[in-house]
Amino acid sequence: MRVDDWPPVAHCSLHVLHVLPPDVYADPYELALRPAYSARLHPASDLELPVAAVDHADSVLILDVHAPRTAPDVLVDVPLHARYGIPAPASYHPIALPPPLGFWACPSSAHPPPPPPQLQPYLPLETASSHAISLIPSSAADERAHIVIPVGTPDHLPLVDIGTVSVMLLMFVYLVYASVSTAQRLHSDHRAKKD
Amino acid sequence: MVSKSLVSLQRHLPQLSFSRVLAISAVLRVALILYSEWHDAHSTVKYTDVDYRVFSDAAHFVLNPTSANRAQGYLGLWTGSGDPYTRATYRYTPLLALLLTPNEWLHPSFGKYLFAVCDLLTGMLMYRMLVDIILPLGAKCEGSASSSVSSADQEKPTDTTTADTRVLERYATLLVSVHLLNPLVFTISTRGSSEAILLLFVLSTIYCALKRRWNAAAVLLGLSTHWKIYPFIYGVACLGLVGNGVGRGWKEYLQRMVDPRALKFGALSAATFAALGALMYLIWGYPFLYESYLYHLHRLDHRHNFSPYFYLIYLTYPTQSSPLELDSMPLGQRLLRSPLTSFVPQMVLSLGTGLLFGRRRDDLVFACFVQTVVFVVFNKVCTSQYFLWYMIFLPLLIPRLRMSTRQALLYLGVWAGTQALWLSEAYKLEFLGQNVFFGLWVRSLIYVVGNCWVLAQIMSCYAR
Repeated sequence: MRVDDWPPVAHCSLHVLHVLPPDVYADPYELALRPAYSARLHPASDLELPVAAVDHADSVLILDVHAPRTAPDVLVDVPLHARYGIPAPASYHPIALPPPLGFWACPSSAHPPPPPPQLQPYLPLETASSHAISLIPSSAADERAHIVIPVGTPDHLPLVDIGTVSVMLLMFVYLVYASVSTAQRLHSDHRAKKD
Repeated sequence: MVSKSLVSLQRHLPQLSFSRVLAISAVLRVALILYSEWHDAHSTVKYTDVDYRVFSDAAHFVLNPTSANRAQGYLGLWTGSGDPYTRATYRYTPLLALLLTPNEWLHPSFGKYLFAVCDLLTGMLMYRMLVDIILPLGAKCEGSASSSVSSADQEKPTDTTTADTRVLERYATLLVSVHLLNPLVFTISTRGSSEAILLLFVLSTIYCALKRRWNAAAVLLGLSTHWKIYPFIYGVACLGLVGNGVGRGWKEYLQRMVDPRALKFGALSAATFAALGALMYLIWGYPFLYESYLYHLHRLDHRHNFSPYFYLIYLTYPTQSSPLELDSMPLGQRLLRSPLTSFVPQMVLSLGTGLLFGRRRDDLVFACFVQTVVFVVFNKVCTSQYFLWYMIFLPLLIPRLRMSTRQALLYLGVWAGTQALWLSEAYKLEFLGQNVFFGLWVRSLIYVVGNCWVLAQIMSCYAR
């Protein structure tokens, strides 16, 4: 994120907003370990479910960046994770990740103007009503990121269904046989020693 | 009289004392923990296990109650404790979070040092079991099986007994080194996995059982089962030994399992488990019950792991729009997808092998080993930490295995090779993003077949 104009008001804060599609999630516990920023995630996302089992709504990640007011380039490293995708005949599933939006929030005692339309749906009401929000212009690098993840193939299901159960049952029978044979041997060895 | 095999073995035993092995193991673990701190600070891919962060966060929540983070049991308010289950994916006993509270106020790596200490204590316990019980028992078995002892041997002076003890101790040291210096063991504990605590409890249970201290064994079994459910299977192996009575047949064996001493053992073990559970419930309420136990009844692990069930679960994962409804499926599909199809073979084998092999004290370690291997192999989820559950018995079992070096290398090769085969494919999925789900599933099947074959071979080599 390139910040060309640091605002004159000393107590303005720098933020980054990420809109995350349901295929992608952020781990708030992992983010809490990052010293460069503090994070707020809404709604809280399940850390384990595949995408097919979660709500199909975007989540919003807002970072409060603790950046020194020096160099114009601010690097904010945000770990994100992809969920297991819905199985599909195409082997891969593309995910389009909207570019992050950087903005300043400057406390305003008077009625601040409404936030930029790109941010309005996502900002908490108390922030929008008490701060003047100014968007940091996007640079050429701030484009939509494209991630491609592999997904399971539904056509595999019949073979996987039968194959898994067959092999497990076969091994069950094999081990029952091996166990009973071993037990009989141990028992007869023990009887021979006693006799 | 020391057994003939030990006499021949002493030529090959290294001149290494147990205290030295313990010291080396301790230094190794401390070095790795220090390295882990450096590595995690300088690398995106962390050395420390994700689970360690989960435990640490849970400990933080216990120590820092707020209005949104309070123990939810009847006594929760009185204790003033926070709720470890505020931490998503924390599915362990609250005792673990309590044990790790020094991570908050002492040092973030305290837990890793604790797990390393448990590793070392386990090694010490193994050594005692080998020197005091298992190796002398094995020598006695060989002595009685071989031709009668000569009068010259019977009248050997006391310094021979001392020499015998030294041979036993050196052999025990070598065997315990197999565990303490095993890369899988020290890597897992220094990465912050808590298995070392449970394994100490399990081994203590078996030690007390071998010493016939049945009350202590029962309490430790209850504690182990509270910590993680699977150790309950060892109760079956112990029940056949607790009871009084003689007789060789199955009828006498089953009678021993329901005699007063066996019933007392079962009751004491169950009471310990219930008492711990009740105390945790009184303080932390339903979240404890759900996360520690009930969750595991219905868990669906769709992400890739060694168990072949992962791909089936992923392809059939119930969604909000299409929940899993067995009743609406054709009979064949219902049988294939039923949870009982995986549960029944696992339980029949885990409990059945306990009944089959838990008939004599000499075979208790073998029984527990076999029970654990089948439990892990037939489980619907399997990660590397699970291998420790049965590897802990190997140093105690080796003295009773009769196999050539070639056989041993072959079995080790198959066991490790099936894992390497799976891991090489998993790497492509995790780090290269390649679609290898089907190949990974096939390799999971190979892992199951390979492990079952190795187990069957070990069974055939046991006590020959």
